[in-house]
Amino acid sequence: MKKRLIKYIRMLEKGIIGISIELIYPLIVTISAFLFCLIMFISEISFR
Amino acid sequence: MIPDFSKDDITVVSHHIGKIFIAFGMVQIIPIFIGLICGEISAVIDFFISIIACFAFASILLYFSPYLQEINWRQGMIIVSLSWLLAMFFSALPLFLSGHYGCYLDACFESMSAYATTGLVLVQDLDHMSYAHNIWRHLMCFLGGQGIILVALVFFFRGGDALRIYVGEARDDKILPNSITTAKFIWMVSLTYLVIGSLMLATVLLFHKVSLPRALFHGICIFMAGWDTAGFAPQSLNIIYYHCPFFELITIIIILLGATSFGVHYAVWTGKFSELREDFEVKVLMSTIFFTYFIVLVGFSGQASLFSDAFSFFRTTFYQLISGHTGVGYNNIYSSELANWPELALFGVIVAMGIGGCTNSTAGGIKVFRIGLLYKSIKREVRRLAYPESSYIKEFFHHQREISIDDTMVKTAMIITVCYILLYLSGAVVASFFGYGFFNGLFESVSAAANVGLSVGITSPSMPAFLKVWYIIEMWTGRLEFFAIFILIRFFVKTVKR
Repeated sequence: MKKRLIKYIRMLEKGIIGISIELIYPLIVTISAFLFCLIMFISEISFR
Repeated sequence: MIPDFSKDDITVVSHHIGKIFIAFGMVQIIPIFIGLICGEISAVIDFFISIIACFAFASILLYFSPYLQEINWRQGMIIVSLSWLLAMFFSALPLFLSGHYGCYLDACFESMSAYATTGLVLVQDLDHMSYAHNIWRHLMCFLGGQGIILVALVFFFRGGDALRIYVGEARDDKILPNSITTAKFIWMVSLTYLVIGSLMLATVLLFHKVSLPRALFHGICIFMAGWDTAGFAPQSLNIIYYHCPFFELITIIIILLGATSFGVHYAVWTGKFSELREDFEVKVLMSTIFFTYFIVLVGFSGQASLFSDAFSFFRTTFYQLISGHTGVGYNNIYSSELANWPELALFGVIVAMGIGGCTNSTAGGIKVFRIGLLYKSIKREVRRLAYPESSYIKEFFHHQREISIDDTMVKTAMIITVCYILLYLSGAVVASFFGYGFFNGLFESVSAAANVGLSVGITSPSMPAFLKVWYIIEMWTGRLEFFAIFILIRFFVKTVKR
């Protein structure tokens, strides 16, 4: 019973870390896209 | 001699469709429950009629077609494609009874759009639709994105039957050894994110002084349509209604997760965190997002100063792009504004929509996996030509494990890609025939066939009936990735000939 509980807690722990990582990855994509857009916007404004 | 379709095929197909329709009728208890809570008696009656229709249909099929044998591959394909078509007709019933649709065809269009997770809508006066009917629209998106069959799979099918139906629904990744446990895992991921995503969205709405029940209703609806890359919203203004950048950011998180393969979710949830960085599909998805976004930004060159600042420029352009690429179709600008975008920027969105998300996710389109595979095969051919004739060239990619590219894989990817391109072009030609212009027609056609839902204004209740039917076919064919439909057509032709 105790072994099973420990196994379940470990699985839950991995799951929670996994979900947290998954939630961060779209944020990284969005921030990178924003920086990319910012560079394009600034270069556009400065050259025209 | 190749075995042809027999009477047994009809019995087996009818029996399993009957089973699916029991599950399908049971699902409609949810909108009845919502209708009872909200005191929407006429909506409850609409769903009662629909449930009775489903159960009656299922009973007739099960009565006349007893269980004969395990289903084979082609029967699995026919069951899937026919179930989707029949589900469209039956799901349209409560929608049509709601009085928000001009005709039954419009209601059918909406239900196919929901099941195929497209998001193109023909509903009229959405803002005054009952909660029960509105939740049904979003629930259809959720069921369609997961796979209608996946609902029935968990409860009603056995091992061999389950696998053949599972593959028929354009899912080829078996995450776990058994397709029923795979279906259960997919449901577990989706339901976990349903709780997390809905709460996140509802919290943002609560900060904007929206009442708790309304915030939860909007949170759940937007999550279901976002996660399953459908793009429906409870209000006619779609995401514009919320006027909130933070809300839009959360939807971006949800739609990107929805467009990610369930195989990657499984790996990350079981502790293989590096899979998110190493997976071939995720890498290709990131590359195509930035490549198509670059096209959109170049398309706006000379016009960026029209935006007040870099943030509003980013908010407008990136949201449409990511929404198109993942196949969601949420929009934070009006269709008329999108139609006025520079042609190159629109072309960037068309390419993104055409490519779509990951395989074995809820996204539509050609899929980044096939695009990546074609790129790798070109690379392999170039290396083969550059190296001495005696050398043996191998190309690998990482998709849960190291996989070597073989010719069969490339051939399948090529066939499906060509089918998609032809489907995209066919819709554009049909729209051109009705005077909408080839470019706008292409945008709308790609949006329908790749199950996206962005619109430049062609999709409306007043568009020609033939075009509505054509888009229904595009949505259906695009969602099931051709082969199940081709086998169904062959089945009908052979049955009629007999």
